Amino acid sequence: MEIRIEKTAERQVTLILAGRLDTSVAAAAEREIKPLYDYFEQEIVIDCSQLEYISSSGLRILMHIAQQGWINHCEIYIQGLQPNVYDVFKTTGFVHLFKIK
Amino acid sequence: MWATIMSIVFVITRNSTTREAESRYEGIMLHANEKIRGVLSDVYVAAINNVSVIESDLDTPDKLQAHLEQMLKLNNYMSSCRLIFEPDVYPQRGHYFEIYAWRDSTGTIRSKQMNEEHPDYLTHPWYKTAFEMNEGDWTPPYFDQAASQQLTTTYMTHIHNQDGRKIGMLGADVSLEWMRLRHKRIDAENHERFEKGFKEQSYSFVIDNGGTYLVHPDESRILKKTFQEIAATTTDTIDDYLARQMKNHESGSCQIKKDGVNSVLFYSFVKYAEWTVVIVVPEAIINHQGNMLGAIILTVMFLGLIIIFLLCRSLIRNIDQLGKTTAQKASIEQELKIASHIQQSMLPKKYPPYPERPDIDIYGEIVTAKEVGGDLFDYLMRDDKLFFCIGDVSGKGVPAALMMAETTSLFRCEAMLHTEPNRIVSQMNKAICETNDSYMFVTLFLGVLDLKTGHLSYTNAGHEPPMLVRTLARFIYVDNNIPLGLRTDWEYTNQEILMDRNEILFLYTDGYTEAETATHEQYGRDRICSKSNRLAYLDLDARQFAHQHYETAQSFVGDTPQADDISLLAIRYLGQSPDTPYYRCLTLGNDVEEVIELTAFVNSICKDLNLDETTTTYTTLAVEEAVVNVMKYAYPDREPSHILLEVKADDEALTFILRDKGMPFDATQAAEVDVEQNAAQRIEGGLGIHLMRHYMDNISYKREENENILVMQKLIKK
Repeated sequence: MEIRIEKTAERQVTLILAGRLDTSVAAAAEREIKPLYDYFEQEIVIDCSQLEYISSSGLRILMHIAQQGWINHCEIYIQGLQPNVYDVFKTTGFVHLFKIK
Repeated sequence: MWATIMSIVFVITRNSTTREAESRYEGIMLHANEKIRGVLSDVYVAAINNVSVIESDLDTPDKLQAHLEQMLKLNNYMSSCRLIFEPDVYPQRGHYFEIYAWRDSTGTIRSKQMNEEHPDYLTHPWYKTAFEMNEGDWTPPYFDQAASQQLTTTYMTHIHNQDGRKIGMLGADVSLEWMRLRHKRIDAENHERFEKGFKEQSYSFVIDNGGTYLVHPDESRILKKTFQEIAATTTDTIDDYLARQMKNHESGSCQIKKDGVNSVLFYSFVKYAEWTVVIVVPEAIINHQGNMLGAIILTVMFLGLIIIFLLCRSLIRNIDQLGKTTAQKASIEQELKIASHIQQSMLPKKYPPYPERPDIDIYGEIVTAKEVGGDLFDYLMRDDKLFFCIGDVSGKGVPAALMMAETTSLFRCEAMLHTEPNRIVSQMNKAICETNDSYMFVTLFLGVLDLKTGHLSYTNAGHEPPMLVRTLARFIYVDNNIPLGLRTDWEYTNQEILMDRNEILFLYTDGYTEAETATHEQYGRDRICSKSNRLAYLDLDARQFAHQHYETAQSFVGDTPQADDISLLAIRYLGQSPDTPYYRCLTLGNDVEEVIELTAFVNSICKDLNLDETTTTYTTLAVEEAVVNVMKYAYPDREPSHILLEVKADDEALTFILRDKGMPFDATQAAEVDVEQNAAQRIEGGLGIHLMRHYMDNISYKREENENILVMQKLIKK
């Protein structure tokens, strides 16, 4: 599992998730995305093009990001979802929580 | 030889002591001699000196009386003195003229002219004899009947007038009473100091030139008898010879029989007086001290000899004993060697032990420390089940080895009768408790591996937790049961895990974890765990696995001698026979980290079954959610426990059976989550269950014997 946060434009920050976001790495991932909560009124892009797998623990992290983004007046986009992961998003209704690019 | 040495020592001691006693008496005698000589010479010198004084005052006879008094006054030993003149020297004083001075009974010096009172003195033989001589001399002793009534001797010396003619004599009297008293005292002192308790005692006497007794304990002899007369009365002639010797002014000593007693007679001639002082000492007294000392020395030597003899004897005995002990020790060491050999031979030695079985690979090794130790492991096969155990008896040496042997045979016996590990362990425990008077105990891990299924049930009685090695290595959870031999009524608990194909159960004793470097750093479980993790990827067989472990520990401790036995036992389960339906299993610890294991496990199954990637992902996801839910809800306190996952597959379906011993938790009954809610309203729970339900085709739950059993089925579309 690899997590990166990159400032990609003046009002845009990108979170790159790569690999498998399962329960065994969830706690570590939760810590690593914390800096994201410091952005206000920005566009947050979650790049999932390299995300192979996500379980409910990973979804829960994304939900935290969504909730915090709503508080911070950030707009959150998800881009590059692979089919298997997209299916999980669909199954859990997460497609409604984010704007999917 | 000892007798000779002892006699020589005795004789030397006695002789030297005898000489010492003799010289003591000789000393006493010489002292007496000196005293007599001293007294007499004092008196003699006084007399000689006064002669010239008297001669210078012959013209004034009145002064002479004062001279006499003065002379007497200055000489304590002089009892009296007199000045006697030839007739008519002083005609005006009368025919005779004699002055006499004496001490009276109070010690006062008095004097008088004796002229008429002592009329015939000039005719007395003592005077006449002395006067006839040309020099002064001592008169033979006599009883002074006139004055002191004591034995007396007088030094008579001539008075000359200016013409040199002898006109009279000066007589200085010495009472020999002091001599009598002195010898009495000497005898008494000798009796008191040296001769106590003897029947015959020493005595001293003095004889004059003629042999007449002057001092003698028998006072009747004094002046009455001579030595010669007494000597003549005896039969032997030695005393006659002595009498002659004394007369010749000789000194010396001689052994004689005196008054019927064997004695030594010491005699010493006194100059001036020409007397002889004699001490007669019974030989018994002379020899007594020597005899005593000799006897004491002999006794001491004899005792010493006895002690030396006893010491030597015990020494010899000790040497014998030492020889025997050494021999015994050698034989004990030999026996220990044999015991160690027997002990080793009780351990399984043949590897692979079951070459005909494709499902099991075992390798065990005990590296014994110096002494015979109490480590043990054993296994046996019965009804397609592998019964195995590893254990460690407390302590070392033969008692531990015997206990080890007993434990091993109990295992062999009970494992034939029972199948449940806790039942076997309980039976072993009871038997050990019954005979365990020395409070030894045995830690034991006992497992029963069903080779058909990989199902391992086990009981751990205070032993180190074994390690289950697959892609990761984990210590399996063990209940805290007490070691064997401590409490006969202890209820041992059973636990179970599942071994998947190619998994290794690695067992060891504390000699391995506690292997120490020179700086007392222990090898420890962490190193065992990380080593196992490294080895896990290598897909080693049981022998290589155990051996690699041992070598790592060896290079860790270096040259430090091994303190305890190190036993390693690796059991590798190779899986069911190929013709049975597809079956896999996984044992997970109650830890989210283990999800990695789970993923690898499910992936490998999907690969075995040639399932596509999407199915693999969704199956993995569903199983992960199921397992994580168990961890979260069945074990809210995260207590250590195993979660067991069995997988069966046939042409139509893949079935997962998830079992745990946590709190009752039925995922099938959980409320459905509303997936249409927006982020602000969404609650966290329920997502996993939702995914699980979604991606599995059938889910059922049941609670059986304290177990949650969740069965999930994924239909396979081929």
